Amino acid sequence: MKYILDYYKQVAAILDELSKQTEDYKKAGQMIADAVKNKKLIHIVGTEMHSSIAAEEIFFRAGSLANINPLYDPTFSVTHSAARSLYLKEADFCGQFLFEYYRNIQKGDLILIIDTDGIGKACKEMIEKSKEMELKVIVVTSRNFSEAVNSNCPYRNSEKINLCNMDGIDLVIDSKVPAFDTIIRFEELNINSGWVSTIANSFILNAIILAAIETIEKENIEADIWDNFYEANGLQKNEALIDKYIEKVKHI
Amino acid sequence: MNAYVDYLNILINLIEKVRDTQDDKFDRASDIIVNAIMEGKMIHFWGPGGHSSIFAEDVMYREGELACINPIIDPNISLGHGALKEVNYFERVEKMGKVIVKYNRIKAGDVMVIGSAYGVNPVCIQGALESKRVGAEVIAVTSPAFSDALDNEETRHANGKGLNEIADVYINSYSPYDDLTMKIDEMDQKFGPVGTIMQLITLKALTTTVIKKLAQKGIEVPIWKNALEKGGPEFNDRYLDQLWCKVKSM
Repeated sequence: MKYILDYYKQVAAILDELSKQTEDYKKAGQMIADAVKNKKLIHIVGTEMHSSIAAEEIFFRAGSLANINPLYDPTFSVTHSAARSLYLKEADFCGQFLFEYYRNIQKGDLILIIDTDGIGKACKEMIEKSKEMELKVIVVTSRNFSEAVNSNCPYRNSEKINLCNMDGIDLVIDSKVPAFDTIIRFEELNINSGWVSTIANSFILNAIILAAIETIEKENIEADIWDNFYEANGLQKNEALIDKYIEKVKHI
Repeated sequence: MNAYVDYLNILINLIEKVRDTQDDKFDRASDIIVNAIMEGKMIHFWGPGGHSSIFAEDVMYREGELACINPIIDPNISLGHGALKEVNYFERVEKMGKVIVKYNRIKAGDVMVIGSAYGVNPVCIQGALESKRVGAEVIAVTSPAFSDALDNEETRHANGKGLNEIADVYINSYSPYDDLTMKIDEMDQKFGPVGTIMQLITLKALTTTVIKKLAQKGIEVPIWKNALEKGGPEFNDRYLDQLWCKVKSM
């Protein structure tokens, strides 16, 4: 029980820290509300292994926006075989090509890029392409983590630049995830366990969506929001939204 | 004689059979597709089964093939996401046929071209029935030699029907029952499957017929160019802008 309690306390401490970044969430929420107002798509991508889970968190879900377009791909996804995703972290062009593949990304859209370690090639390419397309860019990443990774790590982009320090990002949100994502130490076994990144990313994305809906409510913006998928009324509304977005959002 | 000569001779005979006996079927099926294309309707190509899914993959984003089509390659009903899972399990989930038709937004006036050599599994049969129910015309490329003979309730739709009995028009691909063409004295097991080849040859014969008919009507036929050649991707953009999101497997 000691470890569970310790885990809980440390996660709670990180969430507490995250809860103080309200200005970031407000700013992100305003950017999302603006995208909704301007009838733009909001793209989301998690550009490495478990970061890709974050792109699933806010997609096709009651209370989230229907104009969200995730960039899902086996390249980044643990669900399509983990080891190959790991190996592909060393490959150039995956981020650039995937970005180019999504033909529904338009100038002026908003993109959320989630990459916890914040050191890689694909995420850097995505940011560069986003700038080229004049997108508004929000990056969720961990400064702690990217600073702790050895400069010779093969997953680092060739310029060895951390995402949080890249130019052209409108908003960097620090996920406060500790280096290597684990917070519990088992001394005798000499291992670390107890991950935080999925919880931290989910908290941040929820905070952003809540801030966005608050702005949408306050500014009386017309928005497509998924209803309850389990009740007849909600399902009927959602079916109309599926019809509206199935030819706009690839993975609906 | 070498086995390859026997095998190729058998294929040649089967191909000649398709050429010589299906004239009226090719004509009717291609007319249906041509008319639908001229009315701006979508033509869906679907191979509801394990190896059958190659039927849709073959016409997907391919130089010289029609660009105004929706090849359906469903993760549950294809080999790419677990062959065993598809063949032994998921092609028996009857409801899946309805879901695939709904998800792909198949509408009245569309054409659903279904390619299944066996033409018996529950997803295939349910998908064909559902396509008809929503008002699409169903063309099948299939081999009744198989569906007429297969005696196994577990692998068939509850209604026991074959795809050829449901389709508005079916073209016989003449895949033999059990798909195998070779038998030698040295072993008991037959070998030399021809189903995929016969299905694809019959499919190609149909799409070439459609393309020629469209061209003869003076229509600029929407056809992909080679994406590996200079200028190919840029040419293809004109179709991709319309189709990329609609064709979910693109």
